[in-house]
Amino acid sequence: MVTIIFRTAILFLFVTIAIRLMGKRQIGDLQPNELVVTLLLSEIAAIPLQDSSQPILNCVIAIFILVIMEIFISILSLKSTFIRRILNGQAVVIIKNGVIDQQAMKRVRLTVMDLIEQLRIQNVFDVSTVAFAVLEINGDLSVLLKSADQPATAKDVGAKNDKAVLPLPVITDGKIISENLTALKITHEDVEKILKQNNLTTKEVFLLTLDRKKNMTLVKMG
Amino acid sequence: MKRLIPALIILAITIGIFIGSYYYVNSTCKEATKLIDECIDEYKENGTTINKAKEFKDYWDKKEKTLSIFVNHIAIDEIEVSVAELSYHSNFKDNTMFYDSAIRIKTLIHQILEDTKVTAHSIF
Repeated sequence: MVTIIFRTAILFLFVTIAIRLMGKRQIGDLQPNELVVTLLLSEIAAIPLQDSSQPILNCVIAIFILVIMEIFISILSLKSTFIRRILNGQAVVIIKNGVIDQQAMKRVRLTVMDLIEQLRIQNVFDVSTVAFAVLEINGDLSVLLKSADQPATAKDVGAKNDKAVLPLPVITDGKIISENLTALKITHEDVEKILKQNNLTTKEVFLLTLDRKKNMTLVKMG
Repeated sequence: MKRLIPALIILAITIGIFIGSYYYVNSTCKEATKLIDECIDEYKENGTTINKAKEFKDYWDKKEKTLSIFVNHIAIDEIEVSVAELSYHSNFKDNTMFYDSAIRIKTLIHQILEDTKVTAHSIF
């Protein structure tokens, strides 16, 4: 039992380091080689947990090799378009000016129903409104609508377009986040002033967010 | 570059572990085989081999813990059982069970050595 605890802890540590070294991408955004490494990592890590006669070092070495290969392959992919194309494939244009490229669909083995479903997910219900639809390497469909069918922007209607400001959490769970005060160029005294105006202390605040325009969201502790 | 340096460090560690384990397993197994051969020779000459068998048992007891880091634990356990049997049988004269245990240990050690070799058979 104790062996399993230690083994699990050690493997958790090594798999975490491995995933961390691979980068922060989500499963859906993984390139084919990254997906393979992720799948193999979980399988390899499970072997010494199920079979305690296996030396844990064999598994750790296998994890190391996978991570090294993944890193080297991603570096090579960055340097060479040819290697990137071979390992990851290429994005394929499926719809051009409202016309479906059937040859391209056959090449990527995409059915009409799959295409229509992907378009619906993108809120596109009429193929003729699509200027370009590109099947990305990770399987997502990127859609660009024809100019006439694109939703109007603030610029199109001549509306005043204020620069977006990012609200940052200043207090979470009753604790002040000092680095965000620096980013917002405010001091602890400013925060205390805001709290005083609301008859609250820091510990009574669940969430306080502020932006540079001093817009505030305040949630009291429940 | 940010990921290349950790990758190179890990590669160096991996190569280091591989070379270290290869030499450790090889030297331990060769020494163990030498000791077991000496046990067999002495048993043939004198009919018993208490001291040599003890020497081999002590050697194996000392090495098996480190060896189990690199080698399948089942193989180590099997050898441990055979070493205990060998130690017991070495007290008795003209005991064929002694030879059985000795040959079994030699075979198991040989198997460990074979597993460390990089061959088409071991890879595929």
